[in-house]
Amino acid sequence: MRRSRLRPMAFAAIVVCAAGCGSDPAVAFARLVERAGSWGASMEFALQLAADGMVPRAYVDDLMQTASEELATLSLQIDDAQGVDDDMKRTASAACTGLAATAADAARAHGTPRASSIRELEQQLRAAAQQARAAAR
Amino acid sequence: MKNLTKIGLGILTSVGGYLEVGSMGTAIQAGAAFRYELLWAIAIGTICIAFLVEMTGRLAAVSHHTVVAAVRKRFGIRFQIWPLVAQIGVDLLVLASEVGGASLALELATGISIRIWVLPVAILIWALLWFATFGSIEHSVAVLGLVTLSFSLAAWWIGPDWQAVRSGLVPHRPDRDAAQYAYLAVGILGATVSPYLFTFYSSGAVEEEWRAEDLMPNRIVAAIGMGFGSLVAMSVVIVAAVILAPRGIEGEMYQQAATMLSLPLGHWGFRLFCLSLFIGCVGAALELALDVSYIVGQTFGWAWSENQPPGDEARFALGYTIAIAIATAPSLAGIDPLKLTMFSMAVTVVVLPVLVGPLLVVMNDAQYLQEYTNGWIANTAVGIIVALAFVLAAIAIPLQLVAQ
Repeated sequence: MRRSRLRPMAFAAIVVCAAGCGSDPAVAFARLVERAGSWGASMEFALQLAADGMVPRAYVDDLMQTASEELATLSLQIDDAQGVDDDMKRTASAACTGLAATAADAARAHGTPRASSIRELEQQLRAAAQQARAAAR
Repeated sequence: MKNLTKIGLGILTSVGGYLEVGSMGTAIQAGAAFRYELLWAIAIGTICIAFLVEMTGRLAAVSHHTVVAAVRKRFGIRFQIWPLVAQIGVDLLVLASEVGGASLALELATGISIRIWVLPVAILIWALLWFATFGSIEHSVAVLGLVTLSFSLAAWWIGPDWQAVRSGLVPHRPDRDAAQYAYLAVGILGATVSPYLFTFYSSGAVEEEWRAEDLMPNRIVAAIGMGFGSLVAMSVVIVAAVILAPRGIEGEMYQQAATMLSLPLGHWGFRLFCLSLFIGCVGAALELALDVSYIVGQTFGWAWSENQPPGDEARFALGYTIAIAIATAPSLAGIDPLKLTMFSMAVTVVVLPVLVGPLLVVMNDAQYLQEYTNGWIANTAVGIIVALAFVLAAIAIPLQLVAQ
């Protein structure tokens, strides 16, 4: 009798606990923006290593292509995010779209985008993520 | 010399457990997101898998039965069919991830799309299985797998904060992103405690005709083999923590992580990363494709041995041929191998109790183990593993949904 009561309670506790861990919309939004920022950091690091001849050009092109596709998807998800400040959403979305365009241009032209412009967009994304995390607290 | 051969089986098994696309991927993400905080998950996973591998090796050495053959004999074919279906499902999912992972390594190295590489990689894996013997596969993967020690070299070279590394070996609550932390812990455990590791290991031990006098070497092989894998996996976490985390690179796809060895190892870093990923994935794919043939053959009582020519054991060869053909589909469809592997690890955790439970019964049956049945330490260890697997099974899927 006692065991049969405990079993559904334990299951419910696990599900509620798991759901509670990530249900805050501001935290979910921050995670999206951080992921976008992570792509910016990856692009910047790869360009720095390519300039020193440590990674092949083909890899940088492949990274730019993948980054442009992932950032375009993240940009849509940022636009669709619910329960966060509209200004914050607009800023993050614009930075993410800008980063996606920079990566797409570099992949198409096999070119080397300016590291400073990538860094600037990445910093905007990091600031938006921090703001969202602060709002969650 | 004979014992060195056995160590080859241990290292080959650990390549499938620690150095494949899923284990490396989760280790990279764990290090990039939480630095050293998830090292404990690798340590616990290693203890679990070392116990399981030692047990299944002991079963093979004493009874000359593989795990699957012993469970089938003990519980009957009607029972065995369920674990068989579950394990084939998991094996195919993980095999698909490995084929994708090896193709991705080639994409990173050449810039040529993963989809172009899928079929050549699948043909390479199939040809190795078709033309090579178990011994030659075992030795070549074990030797080539040593290239993954480049992660350990890099970890030592960059000089991490060893105090923080030691703290990471003790489980604790994270100060942020609990869902992501828990999901990565589940992913690491799911990737490490994979059922195909112990079914494969016991099949390999029977292929190599282990006997009761091999029990001590079996213990050493389990410890050295899994220790090797664990060392490399922890090194991956450490390098990701030092190189990727401070730059804010999360490593959610391999394209982001491929640069992690470049600073410590210079021009060789990128090549070694691609080579390690390729060898790890091909080694794991060989193990998984063979495992599908092994478990099907052992369940239905067919002849099974990688050491016989394919013409003599047509059903065995057909098993891995079909498995490899099915495994090419997801990558050809454009599914990212790392995303596929995260899903397959959650499924692995769900089916783990179904596969580990019957093993506990067999390991206490004197008909198979004579005087070598499990002692209380081994029984407690397996009991904890089964309990851990049940808990993980209950939280893995909700976490997958919540943590996205």
